[in-house]
Amino acid sequence: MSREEIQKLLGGYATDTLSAAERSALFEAALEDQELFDALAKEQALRDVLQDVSAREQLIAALGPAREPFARRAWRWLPQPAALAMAGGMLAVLIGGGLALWWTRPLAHREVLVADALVRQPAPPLAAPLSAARPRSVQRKLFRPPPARASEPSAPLPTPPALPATRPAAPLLPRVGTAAVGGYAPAGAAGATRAMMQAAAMPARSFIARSGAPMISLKKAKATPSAAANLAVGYTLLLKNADGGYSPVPSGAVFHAGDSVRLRVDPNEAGYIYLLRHEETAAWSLVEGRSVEKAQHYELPSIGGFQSDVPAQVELLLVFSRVEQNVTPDALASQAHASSRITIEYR
Amino acid sequence: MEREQILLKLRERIVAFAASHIQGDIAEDVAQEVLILLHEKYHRVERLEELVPLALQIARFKIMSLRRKSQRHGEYTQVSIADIQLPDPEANPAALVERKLMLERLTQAVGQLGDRCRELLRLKLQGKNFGEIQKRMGAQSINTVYTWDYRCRQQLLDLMGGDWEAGKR
Repeated sequence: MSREEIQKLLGGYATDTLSAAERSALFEAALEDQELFDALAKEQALRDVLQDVSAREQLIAALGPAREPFARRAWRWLPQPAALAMAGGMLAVLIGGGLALWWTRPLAHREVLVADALVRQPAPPLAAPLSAARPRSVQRKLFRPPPARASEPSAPLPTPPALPATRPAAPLLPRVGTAAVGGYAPAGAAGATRAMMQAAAMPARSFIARSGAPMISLKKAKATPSAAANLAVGYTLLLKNADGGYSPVPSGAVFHAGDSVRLRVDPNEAGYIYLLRHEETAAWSLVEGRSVEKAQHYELPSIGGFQSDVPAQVELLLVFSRVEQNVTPDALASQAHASSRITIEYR
Repeated sequence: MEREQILLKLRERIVAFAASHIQGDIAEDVAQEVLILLHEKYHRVERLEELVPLALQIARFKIMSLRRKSQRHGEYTQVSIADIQLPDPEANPAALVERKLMLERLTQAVGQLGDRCRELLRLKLQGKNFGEIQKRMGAQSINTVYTWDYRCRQQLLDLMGGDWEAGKR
């Protein structure tokens, strides 16, 4: 023990509170330290008084009743009606405050995509150019049983002009599983032909997911037949942290230049998800496409994130389909309509 | 530490302590008388834990006796060693009165202590050691109790005018 610590044992000498080890340490130190010995000698007067049992009892009485432990004091205090009322009130305030905090907690920005069902469209002629898209009102409809075709012969369609050999063809969507970021290389005329062929071979129903965030889209989603409404995908905006990970951002979060943003999608069924980005050239490019499983989380893009070094708007399109889509990004986007866009604004 | 070594150190300390209260030459005599008493009456006491309190008690009685005699004779500066009697550990009327006065001052002073100091002193007076006090008062370590006790003792000493015994200052 240090000298300071031994000095603190002085108070135990008069009351005979010291253990054998403490007493020994104190006396040994006192024999070596005159100051400590003097202090000890002064304590002797008090010790002589406290050796008397009646003197101790008188002092204990003067000190008043013993202070009860907190738990016992609380136990005695609680049964009083005023104390019970106060405790109940505090408990009610705590519960109310907790519930209020729970209801007003910031929620991650989460939107639900609800799919519209599309009726099968007749395949375009092989020689028709990809840019010659049909009117949207005809192309996109809510799912209804297809009407029986009239048996009367229709007028023959005029033969479309042949595609120029030098004209660049729109890129094809890659096979799902080979994720791409940032668009495609032109596939060439042969690729365009293949796209049209595959578009013609599409199954009877395909589903294009639309963002449910705008009110108009929500209303449309409610009007969607139940068969189509069953197909949905939720997404959450994720922001890159300082540690490199991505975490959900609260609703209404403002993105700044340099922020890296991802989407976390949660499909309610297995299928295929395509994330398209609207380029400055007014064309859509595929950011990533992949097959997904029901009730699993997927982050898109899986490599990197959307980023802008200057204030800008990034327009995205999230397409969800039960079957694999082998059409061009523009063709896919044209089916999706503007209401399916997700806009990330960098300020 | 052997008894002879303890007694040698005790003599040195008692002389220095007594010299701060009485004259230097008498201080040497007081120390000598303490040692004689320890040698003749308490020669079986050998342990440090017993010798030191015993020596302190005897030295205190001797100094008190010297002081009383000086007051009686009106001699504050010269006291013949021949007049100094060996201390009687048994209580005498003067010692009883002094003890009673001190107890009254103590009783008044402890009433002015804070809650913690009162609780600590109560436990000490009830015979609890520092380890037991630590548990009873919920202190994190025994050093905390030492510190509390040191401060409370200092506070009590201040309330009693800086000395346990009245009229020392």
